[in-house]
This record gives sequence, C-alpha cells and structure tokens, in this order.
Amino acid sequence: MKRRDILAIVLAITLVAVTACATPKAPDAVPEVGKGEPQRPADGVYPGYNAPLGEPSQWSYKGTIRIPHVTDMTGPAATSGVYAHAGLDDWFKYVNEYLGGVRGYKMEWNNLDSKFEPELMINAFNRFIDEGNPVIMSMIAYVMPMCAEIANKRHVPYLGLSGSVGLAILDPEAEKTRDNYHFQMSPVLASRMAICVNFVLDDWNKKGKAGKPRIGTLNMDNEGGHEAATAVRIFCEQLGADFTIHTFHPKNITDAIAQVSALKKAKVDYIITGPDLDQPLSVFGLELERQQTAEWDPKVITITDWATVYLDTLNPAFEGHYTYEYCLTWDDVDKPIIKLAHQLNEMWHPEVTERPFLYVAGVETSIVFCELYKRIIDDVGLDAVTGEKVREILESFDGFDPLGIGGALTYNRWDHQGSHSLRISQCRDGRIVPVTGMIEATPLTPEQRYRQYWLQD
Amino acid sequence: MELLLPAILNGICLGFIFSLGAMGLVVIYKSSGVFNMAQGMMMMMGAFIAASFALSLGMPVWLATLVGMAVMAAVGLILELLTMGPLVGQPLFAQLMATIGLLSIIRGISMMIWKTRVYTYPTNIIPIGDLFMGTFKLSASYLNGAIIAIAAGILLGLYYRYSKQGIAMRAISEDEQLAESVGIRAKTILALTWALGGVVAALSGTLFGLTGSVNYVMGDIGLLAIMPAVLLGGLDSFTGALIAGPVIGITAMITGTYLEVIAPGIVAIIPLVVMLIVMLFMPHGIFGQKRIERI
Amino acid sequence: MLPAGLYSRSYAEDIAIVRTKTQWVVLVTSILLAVCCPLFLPKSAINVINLTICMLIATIGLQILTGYAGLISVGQAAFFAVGAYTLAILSKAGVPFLAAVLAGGLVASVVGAFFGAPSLRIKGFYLVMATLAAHYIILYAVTQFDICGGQVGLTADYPSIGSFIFDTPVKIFYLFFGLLILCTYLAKNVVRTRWGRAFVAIRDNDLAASVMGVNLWQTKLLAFATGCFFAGIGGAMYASFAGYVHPSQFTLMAGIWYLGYLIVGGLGSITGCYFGIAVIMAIKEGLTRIPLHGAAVGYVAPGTDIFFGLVIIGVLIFEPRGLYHLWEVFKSYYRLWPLAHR
Repeated sequence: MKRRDILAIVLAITLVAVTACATPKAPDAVPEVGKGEPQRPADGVYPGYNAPLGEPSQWSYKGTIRIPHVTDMTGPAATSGVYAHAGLDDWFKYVNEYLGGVRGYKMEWNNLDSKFEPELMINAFNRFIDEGNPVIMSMIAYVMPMCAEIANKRHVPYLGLSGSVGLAILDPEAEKTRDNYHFQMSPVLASRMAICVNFVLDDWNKKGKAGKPRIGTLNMDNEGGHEAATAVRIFCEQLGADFTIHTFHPKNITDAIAQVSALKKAKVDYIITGPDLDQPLSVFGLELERQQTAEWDPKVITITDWATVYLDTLNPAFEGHYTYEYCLTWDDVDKPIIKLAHQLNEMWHPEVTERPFLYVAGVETSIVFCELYKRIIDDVGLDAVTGEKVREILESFDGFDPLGIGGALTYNRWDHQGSHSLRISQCRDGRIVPVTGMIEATPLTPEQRYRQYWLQD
Repeated sequence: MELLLPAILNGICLGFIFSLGAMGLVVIYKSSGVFNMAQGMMMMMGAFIAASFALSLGMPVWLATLVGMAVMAAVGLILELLTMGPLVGQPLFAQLMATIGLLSIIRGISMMIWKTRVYTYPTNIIPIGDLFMGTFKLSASYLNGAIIAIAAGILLGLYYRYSKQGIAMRAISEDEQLAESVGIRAKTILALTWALGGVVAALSGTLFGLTGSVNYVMGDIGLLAIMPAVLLGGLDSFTGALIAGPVIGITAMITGTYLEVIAPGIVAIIPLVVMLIVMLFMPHGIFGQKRIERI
Repeated sequence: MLPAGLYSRSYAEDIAIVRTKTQWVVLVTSILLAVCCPLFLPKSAINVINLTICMLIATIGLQILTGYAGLISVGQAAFFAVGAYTLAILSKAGVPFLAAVLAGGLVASVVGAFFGAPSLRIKGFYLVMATLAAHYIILYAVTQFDICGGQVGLTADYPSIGSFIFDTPVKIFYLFFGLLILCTYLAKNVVRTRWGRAFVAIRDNDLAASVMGVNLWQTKLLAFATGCFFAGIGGAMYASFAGYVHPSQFTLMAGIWYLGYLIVGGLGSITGCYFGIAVIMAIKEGLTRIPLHGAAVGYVAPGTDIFFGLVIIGVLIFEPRGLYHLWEVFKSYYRLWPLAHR
C-alpha cells in the first residue's frame, strides 16, 4: 500500500467519524451524538467559571449530598486513586465554597479505600447500595468484573473512568433483555486502540518513512489487556499497518526482558499498550531504554500511568514516548477550566507545582457528578431517586460538555462510553505536551459490540 | 541462539541479585530459625531510603546505598527488640505470623513516607559501561547487580565462617542454651542477626531497584522472587542460595523468552514448580542441613 | 474445661457437645439472637455478615488443618477459589445449589489433598512455601481453562433450593446461617473422632504419633482434604453470594489473613474462629468508615496496615492463645465467682 493510499484511508476514516457524529444513523450501529447545541451546564450552577476568585461566600446549605467513592488508595493501583482523589475533592470544595453547592446542597465524597482487596470492594458496593445511595463512583471497579455484576443485579449504576467493551457496551441481543449499570467517562479500550493505530499511521506518514509501520503490543494479562491486544491487531489489519507481535505480562513484574526481547526480535516501530499499572510500565520503560540501539528505537503509545511515572521520576527512559488521555492536562493553561484549576491549587495547595492527568480526570468526574445531581434534584427529587432513575438520567446525557475539560459525554441505552475521543500527548521536557487535538473514535459496528469479538487473542 | 545467550546472561545476573536477597533470609533463619516473611518489605524500605537520599540530597548512589544499609540495620535491630525478641521460644507458627505482622507494619510505614510514587536511581553504584557481545548488550545495571551481589555474598560467607560473631551465630543456631552456657549472649547475637538481615535486605533491594524501578509493589514481588531461590538452595545455606539464585534466574529468563509470548504469566509459575519438585525429592533444599529428629 | 460437679453417667452424656444447662441457654440464646439479627441490624450489615460467614467456614477448615493438625497453609484462598469455580461451573450446567456446594467442597478437598501430598516430606516453613506455591499454581491454572472463563470469569446465580430463590441479603443470610451451623457441627465432631485425635497427635509430634501407630501419610492427606473441604464449601457459597467468580477475587493476602483470624481467635478451637473473624472483620469494616479527606488519605490507609500488624503482633506477644482463651478465663472466673480461690 502506498503512502498516498494510507493517507486516503486515514482521511476517509476521519471523515466517516466526523459525519457519524454530525448525522444521526441507524440506532443499533452508531450512538446519536450532538443533536444541535452541546448541552452546557445550566446557569446558576456554574456562573462564569473563568471569573476572578474572591473570598468564598458564606452559604447556608439545604443539606449535604455524600456520594460514595470506592477507590484504591493503597495497593498496586493506588497512584491513580490518590491523584484523582485530589481533583475530586478540589472541585467539590470549589463548588461548595464559591457556588453554594448544587441547588443549595453541599457536595461531598464519601471516600472508601478498597486496597485492591476483593472482600472490601464487595462489601463496599453492597453497603453503599444498602444504605440507599443511588449512584457510586469507582475508578477501580473495572478491573473487578464482580462490581459490575453487583451493580447490574442490584440496579444501582456506578461511574468509572474506563472499561472494556464487555462492561460498557450491550450487544444487540443483550440490549433487548437487560439494562447496563456500568457507566464510564472515556472510550472503551478497543476504541482507544483504534485511535492509537490511527495516530501511529499519521505519525509514520508525517516522518515521511516508507513502507508500513510495524506495531507490537504490551498488555497486562487480564480481560482488558486481551481486548486491547485483539483490537490493535484488528485495527492494524483494517487500517493498513503491519501487526507483528503481542506480549503480555502479569500484574507485577521483576523484569521485562522477555517482553522487550520479543518486541526487539520482531523489530517493531511502535508499541501500543492498553490498560496497565505504573509498576510494570516503569520496569518495561527502563528495560526498553537498555535494549535500545541506533537501529531499533521504538516509540510507546501508552496509558497515562506512563506519564505519571515520567513526572514522578523525570527519568530520560520515559521521555519521547506518547500517552493518550481523554481530557485536558495540567499544562493546558490557555483553557479557562485548567486556568481555574491552577488558581485553586495556588490557593489551597501552594506546594504543588505539577498535577498528573488523573487530577484533571478527577475534576472532570466531579463536574459530571454536579451535573448529574442537578438533574436528579430537578427531575426526580432527592427523596424519590433510585438506581433505575439515575440510570435513566445518565442515559439522557446527550453531548453534555463538561466545561470543555474533556470530550462531550453521551450515554444511550447500549453505549455507556461517555466521551468518544482521546488526545495523544508526548512526554518531553518534564511535561506532557499534547501533539494532537481530540480524535474521535470510529464507531463500533454491530458485531464489534460483542464481548467475545475482542477476546480472540 | 540469538535469544538464548541474552536470556542466560541476564538470568545469571538477575539470579545473583536473587541470591543476595535469599541470603538475607538465610542470615535470619540460620540463627533464629525464623522465616522472615517481611524480608521483601525490608528490601523495599532499604531501596526507598537509598533512592530518597540519592534523589533529594544528591548523594552519589553508592553513598546513598550505604546510608540505606545503615538505616535498615537500625530498623532490623528495632524489629528484633520489639517484636521478635519477646517471641523467642514460641512455636514456629507464632513466629511466622509475627513476621507477617511486621510485613504489614513496614508496608504501612513505607507508604506513609514515600507514598505510592515510583522512583528510579540516577546512576549505577559502580560506574561501568554496558558490555557488548556482538548484537547483544549486557546492561550495566545488571552487571552492577551481579558483581556487588557476588562480592557481598562472599563477604557474608566469610564473616559467618571466621568472625567471632559469625561463629556465635552458628553456635546459637545449633543449641541456644548450650551457646549461652559457654558465654555467648544469645540476645545480643540475635539482635545482631536481624541488623545484618536488614543490611543485606537494603543492599539487595537497592540492586533490585537498579534493574527495575523502586516502588512499593517491590515488597511483594521481592519476596516472591527470592523465595524459590532460598528454598531450592536450602533455608540455612549460603552456598545454596548463591548457587540456586542463578539457577532460578536462568529458568525464569528462559521460560520468559520462549513461553511468555504463548502463555502469559507462566514466568512467575515455573520457578515455583521447579521449587516444588526439588522440595519433593530434597525436602531441605539442595544444600540445606538435614536434621535428625528425636522424640 | 467443665464446671465442677458434672459427672457423666452414660456414654451419651459423655460424648455430648452441649453438657450443662448454662451451655444450652447460651447456645439457644445465641442462635436466637443470630436468627433475629436481620430485624435490628442495619441492612448494610447483613451483606457483610453473609460474606463473613463464607470466610468463617473456610477459617474453620483452616483451624482443622493448622490448629488441630499443625500443618500451616497459606493457600486457603486458592482452595476457596476451587470451590467457587466448581459452583459457578456446575450451576451453569443446571446442578441444584446444595449439590453444587457439596461438589465444591469435594473438588476442593481433592485438590487440597493433591497439594497436601508433599506435606509428608516437607515440614515447617518449607510446607508454608509449598502451599504458597500451590496458591499461585491453582490461580494460574484457572485462567488457562476455557471452562473456568479464563480472564473474563464466570457468573453465578443466586442460591436456590427447589424453586425457592434466595435473592435478598436477608434470605441469603438465613440459608448461610443454616449451612454455618451445619458446618460447625460437622467440624466439632470431626475433631472428636479418631481422625481428629490423630490430627492433634501429629501436630504435637508427628514422629511420636507414627510410633504409636498413626499412619502419617493418611492422616496428613486427610487433614488437608478436611481443611480444604470446608474451604471449598465456603468458596461455593461465596460464589453464589458474590454472583461472579474471577481470578482477581482470590488474593494471597486473603489466604494469609485466614491465619490471622486463627491467631486472634485462638488456635485449636472451632469456637475461636468465630471470635477471630468477628473481631477482625468488625475492625476492618469500622476502619473503612473513617472519613477520608484531603491529607488524611495519605495516612489513614497506611495507618490501618500498621494497625493490623500491631494487632497480630500484640496478640502473639500478650495473649498467644487468642481471644478464645480470654473467653475461657472469663468463664471459669464467672463459675467460681464470688468465691474464686487465688
């Protein structure tokens, strides 16, 4: 395939994606996105978020809304929990102190540390549901399918950051028989991989290299990892890249020699990874640097944990590689919402200079919850709200714009992905520098909605 | 062949680091008869201390490692005095559980101080370059690990064999009461053992950290990595640990190279299976001492 | 220890588990209290209790294995998983709940006996490490078989007997409580049989036991089979309660915590398991209710780790016989009050 052809295909796909978003399609193939104007948060809840901050006003609240938040703040996935938690807290503090809460109610998180212990997580989910909470926030639930099972069985939705097709998407048959109570903020893993493969092809063309890029994968050995791996292979075949090899690793690793050697033997130009943790990624990154030569200098396109490690260590081994994220980062100071976050941090946490992506993701989550509760109070009332009602309200989100901090959120009956776009950034100069705008994912075809489709490799 | 040589060489280097970690276990087991489940956590803590001294104070890494070893010696001493000392003479199960309690405590303390961040060392301990062999490059950090681990292992063996304290430690492991009756202070010697265990843990943790990164998952994987080595070699043998480490390292690396792509996760299982099989035929490991039981 | 003035006049009286009127009163009252507890406990506590019952049954198995037979195992979580997977697979095939639970126990005991086989040759810490290896090998194996759902896991239905489905926490509680009483009764009796006494003999000195005619090989295998049988039962119940079985649900730390329950409760007593697990689960659940905000996040979570370490070491140093011993001390004090002889 010539470079021109690849370019044409990429263009065509982008065009299809754009048109797919602009025009409503057959309901079982494409989500209906953005009918008319994007839904903005109503006035009264966020009056002018770029206005100068003065002294906080004294408010008399009608009551307090405590939203359960189950996340690892200890254990192998703790980094994400700890960082995101700061963002979650800061935004609610801002809403409470400067805006008088949501419809006069004070917003609070009811944090619970699940410590990567399954018993604690089961107990936490059951307990919060038993206590009558209509919705749960959990960033970690997607690695434990059992949480989705509890939510589905007991009809209480939970909102997470990401998840697999098996969790977020109902296949055409299941759509008719059951509801889905897993909601997430970002594209499913398979769609993320499609965006990454697209980006690789773009990058390859931009550098003016001949032939096709050779792509390998590195993934954690779990459902998400296998879905990401399958997706990379399938999209490589569809979009015209050379797929070479899958490598997997267990949850914790002492060395990544085997994985890097296999990738080196396959002479890959790009390595794409799905969901992963910072420990294996850091070990992998160091080993990759060791085995790098002048001839073999692959680039990694990976999840934001890589960026977190890079910011933590500033080790040159992690420099120059790419990460993908679904919302803005700390360095987007030209955007009003990030500027506001900077101001809030200068005020409340003067010692902090750099925030990882997950902090921003936490802010976005809080914005979504404020909007959710605003709609709950307006449409149902706090007393009458149930899990089913919350699910219906969430499914009424149609192109909701979370103050520009991330892609517009849309949920419908079978598609609980939220935003469908990712942005690719590069780790360099001690910062996370965006290299693309928000890229919209290719919509899933009906057969791609089946869980098994993504578990072939 | 293209893959086999790197696998073997990397396996040997990594294996010697396992050996040193295993020796930390042997040191404590030999005199007090306790299998220290908290050894992985002690390795992690030592590595954290070295990393924070190297990064925040800008110390050279070798000096930071020495500081880490010194601090961990103190930590080992404190642990012995507060927890393991009062438990001397208790059944094996109680002592095992006490070390699990220590594991929990050390993890908590480390997490409070160093949070859940990832650290990497700025340089190696010995400033040497990578070793090139044709297309294959043996990384300097692995070489570092192997050289220091072997040197430390031999030193430790000599210390045990010829120094006064080493002989006392060996005497205590034979018979504590008998040793006390010939004028050895069992309590002091036991405390010294734990301090030594801390020193070895800190050094091996730092070497682990050089090949990978330093973060608090290290506590769990550290113990899992050294465990097959120490059981294969025998819980009370330095020679055993020194030889079994590379055996396990090579086994893991070769399975990793050839099987990991087909069957992910198997690299963590094969050393355990090897360990189980060897234990079936040699219940005390290859070099472990057989004890004659009396009623 | 029995109160003074109690004589056995027949064999039936001698072997009775419940001997005195007070014991009857305590037993009946506690069962009644337990049966009524859904009425006065908050709804959210019932689910915690249900999970605790599953773990308690596994702990009782470990008590037989470790407390009575002296074989230390950290692999209990893996045998728990075997039971859970068995139930999930069988209930898919349409096997009734109770039969599937029993099958879960039996499969777990076979697997347990297989991994317990080295225990004849391997002793002490080596055995601990062998069971640790068993944990990883079993959990690796389940991800490799398609029938176990691989990395996706398996769903399991709510428990049911006939056409009656136990679909609320309270219904599940009554079912589980019944099973718990059954298991406790079974365990109490197992340790009083010839096998149970053989377990104690090999715990105290296996060489001496074999000299006295205890077949070590058989007894150790049986100890593993019995201990893992209970783990399998607990696991099967857990699967139907949680509704999902996935490799990530069974961690080594859970296996180690089972030993922690034994230590806190007291080794060598079935009742001790109740004390140990109740106290630790209550503390654990209580600690998760500490509000976590701002800077506290960095300290509360590690603080609980430190706290648990201190609890274990504290119990070991100050009351190595566990809470059950305190209970016994209290009982004898109460019996002799106010004329206690010091």
